[in-house]
Amino acid sequence: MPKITFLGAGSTVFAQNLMGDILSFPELANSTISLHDIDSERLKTSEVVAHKVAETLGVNPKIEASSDRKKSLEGADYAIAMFQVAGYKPGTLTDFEIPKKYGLRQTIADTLGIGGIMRGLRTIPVMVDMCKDMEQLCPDVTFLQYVNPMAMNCWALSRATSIKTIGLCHSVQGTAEQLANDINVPIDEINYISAGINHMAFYLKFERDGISLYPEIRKVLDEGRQPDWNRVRYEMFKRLGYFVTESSEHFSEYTPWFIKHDRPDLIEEFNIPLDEYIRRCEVQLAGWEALRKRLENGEEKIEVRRSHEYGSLIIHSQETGQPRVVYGNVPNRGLIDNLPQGCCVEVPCLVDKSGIQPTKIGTLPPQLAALMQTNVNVQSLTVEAALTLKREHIYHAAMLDPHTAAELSLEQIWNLVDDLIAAHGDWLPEYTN
Amino acid sequence: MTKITFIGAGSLVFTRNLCSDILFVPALQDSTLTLMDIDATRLEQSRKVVQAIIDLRGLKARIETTTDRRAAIKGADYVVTTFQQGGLDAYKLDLEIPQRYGVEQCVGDTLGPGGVFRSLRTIPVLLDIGREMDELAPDALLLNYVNPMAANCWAFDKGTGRPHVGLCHSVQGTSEMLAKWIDVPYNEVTYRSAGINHQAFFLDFKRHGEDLYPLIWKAIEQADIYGEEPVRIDIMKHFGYFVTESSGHASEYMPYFRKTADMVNNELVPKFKSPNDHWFDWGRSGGYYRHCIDRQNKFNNEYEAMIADGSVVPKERTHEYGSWIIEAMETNRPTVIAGNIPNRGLIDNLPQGCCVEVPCLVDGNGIQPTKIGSVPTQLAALNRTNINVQELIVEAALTGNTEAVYHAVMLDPLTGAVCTLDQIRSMVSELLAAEQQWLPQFKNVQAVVTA
Repeated sequence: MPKITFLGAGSTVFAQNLMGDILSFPELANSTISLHDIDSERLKTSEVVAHKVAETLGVNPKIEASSDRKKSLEGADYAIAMFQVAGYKPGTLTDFEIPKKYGLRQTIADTLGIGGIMRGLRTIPVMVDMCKDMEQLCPDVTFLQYVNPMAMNCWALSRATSIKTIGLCHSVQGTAEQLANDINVPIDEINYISAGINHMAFYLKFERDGISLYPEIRKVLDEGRQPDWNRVRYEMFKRLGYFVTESSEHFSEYTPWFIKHDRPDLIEEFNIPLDEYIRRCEVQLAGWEALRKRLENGEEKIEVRRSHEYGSLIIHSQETGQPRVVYGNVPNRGLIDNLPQGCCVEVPCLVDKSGIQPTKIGTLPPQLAALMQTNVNVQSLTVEAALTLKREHIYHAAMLDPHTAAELSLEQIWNLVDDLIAAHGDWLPEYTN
Repeated sequence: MTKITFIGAGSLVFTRNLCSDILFVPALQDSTLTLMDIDATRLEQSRKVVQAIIDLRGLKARIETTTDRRAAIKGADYVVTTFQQGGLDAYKLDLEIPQRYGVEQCVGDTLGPGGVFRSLRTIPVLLDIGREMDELAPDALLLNYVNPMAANCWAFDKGTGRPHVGLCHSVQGTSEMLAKWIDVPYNEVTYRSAGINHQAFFLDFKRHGEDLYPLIWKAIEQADIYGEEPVRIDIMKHFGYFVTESSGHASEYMPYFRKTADMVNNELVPKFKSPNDHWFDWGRSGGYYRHCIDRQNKFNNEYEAMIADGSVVPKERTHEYGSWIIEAMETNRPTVIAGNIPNRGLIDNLPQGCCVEVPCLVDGNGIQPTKIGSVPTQLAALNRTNINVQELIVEAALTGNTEAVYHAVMLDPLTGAVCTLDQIRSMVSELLAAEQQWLPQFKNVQAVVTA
């Protein structure tokens, strides 16, 4: 049975879901689950939860918890990253509040935009360090990487380490389920192919029994039945001809068209939840506190339901050989012809005992590739900055960000970057000018 | 309900096995199996055998038979090609004429003058089938089993642009053999094989991440194992990897093993020690042709009795990919196959567009090749010597340019090693004349031969 290491295991709810998924498979029920977090209080809570998950399922995994990363990684077969550097405070708040002073508003700020850039710069050095540990302690490990900004992080790893990494998200399967719901077709009857970059992949094919379901999606739009929380994506479908995989609130900040300081009417029309991520973090923190209290009082019994996360499926397929398809974020080594070589792309991957095997996509419709390219620009410069520690590339990344560039002058962008670097203090390594 | 059409269904053993496989799949047990052949007698034999499978297993599946190809293709979901254009008569010419020029072919269905002419006969038929599918079954997938796999599929892709996959059992068969040699249970073995059909190589062969190649290197030192596969083992010793097609085949895709009749009979044949290699007569020239004749006679004589006692009905699903592909596409449950498909950026150091054999994911979305990247340089170089010939076959077949036929045979590594250019010219002219009835694309062939 494999050893599976959770990095950032203090993300209790996420860790709980994945543990439930993994331990539900009889072939994985006796795995070693090694929990690691630098926050010992959160780690303790997750450890309690792990035992309760095992209890609910009636299985006997070996559960370990350690704040020593090296100890957790030693001999791991799988490592799963779910940590956040600098957390909600000060990390996320800084990413939102300082840009706000320049009139730059964001919704999620974890992927692209100035917030995504800073989050990438905070995360990449930590993640590269982890992989350096893995190269020593478990060189054959499969690294399941869940931390955003997905594309930037994975791209940096593919440049800086030899560890086999796949970046994972649930946007592809999640959006497919939402669309199935919108058009009233059971998801089990639908087959699809999605490709692009994480959070900006598009369904190239969405069909049932060989017949495209796009006309049904079109009907939702024509009849004005699109959900209120999903207006941006339906608008983009109307303009591009394809449906995108990440949510409307996310998508609004990856492009220059929706959030404009002098156009409050657009915010209204497209129902864009500014500062959404701040609210989500507050809710999550309150939820975690409540969970901890209930666990301390000994009352909580944990229910286990399968999630739609790919993590456990990948481990199961690699261990048993049962072939599966997952959407993985992997280096573009000739997978999508009209995106740059080496950038991080999200494509269907075959997984079996031979590991993660990306399928070849070929050429994307040009309008989709062009839009992705605007985001890949920012990713490439953020990765360049993080790996070379050259400060100029941080400015370049922000300058090339479509939303930032639409809202601010070059001078403002540079000042904003300076303010953010200053506010980060020790959360960023030393950059050279 | 799925309609699966077999073109060349008179290939009795193959049709029986593939239909039996399909009928083992619960999701396909109400399919319509449409058997088509131009030979009504053989078609009727196949029908009886497949009907016996349905009856013995008590299934609802339907069989249709027809000698009208258009009727067979109409409305099909899958078209499986197993025909042999020109049959054994043409095959005999493929071997006998080159042998007079010193080209000693053992199988002669893949490369060499035999492979070139088999392909030239086959491609026009495949193109016709493609056009008929455009018209009568526009969404159907072609599963091509007809050799020469690579040249046929390449021409089909270039000529029709239709979805297709070329299928063979060399990868499964060889991996099973290797697992046995090193005494590792087959279900614990994983591998990645890539290259071209009949000349793909196991890039890795593993168990739980452990490299099993060291065990293979050890196994091939044993005399009895060497006696099973002397050519493939020699190839591994010199190229570093194990190749997917048998020693009889492999010996004729390169110039090293069959330079003269004397070399074949006195150096190569004695290396074979295993009764398993009977089907290519232990490497002798024309070995597989003689096996085909024997097999046909044997089945003709025995099949009535085998139907009567039920022994004609297979007890287990085979490792042929056909039924696994159709099952995965119909149920959307993924499977993995080694498929022959156009090289659109799959193997970086083989030419774009040529036909490569790589691991493919199959599910409701169809055949989805995985990306390989670069294969080891010496393997790519060897593949390219074969791809040269395939490319010229495709050129000849699609353009009707007879000169390209000469070029194809000139570039064949075995032929080039034993013939002068003049000999090749006269050998190819002889073949063109002898096989003219199956080569409609070369309208000017007579002029060339008499010139």
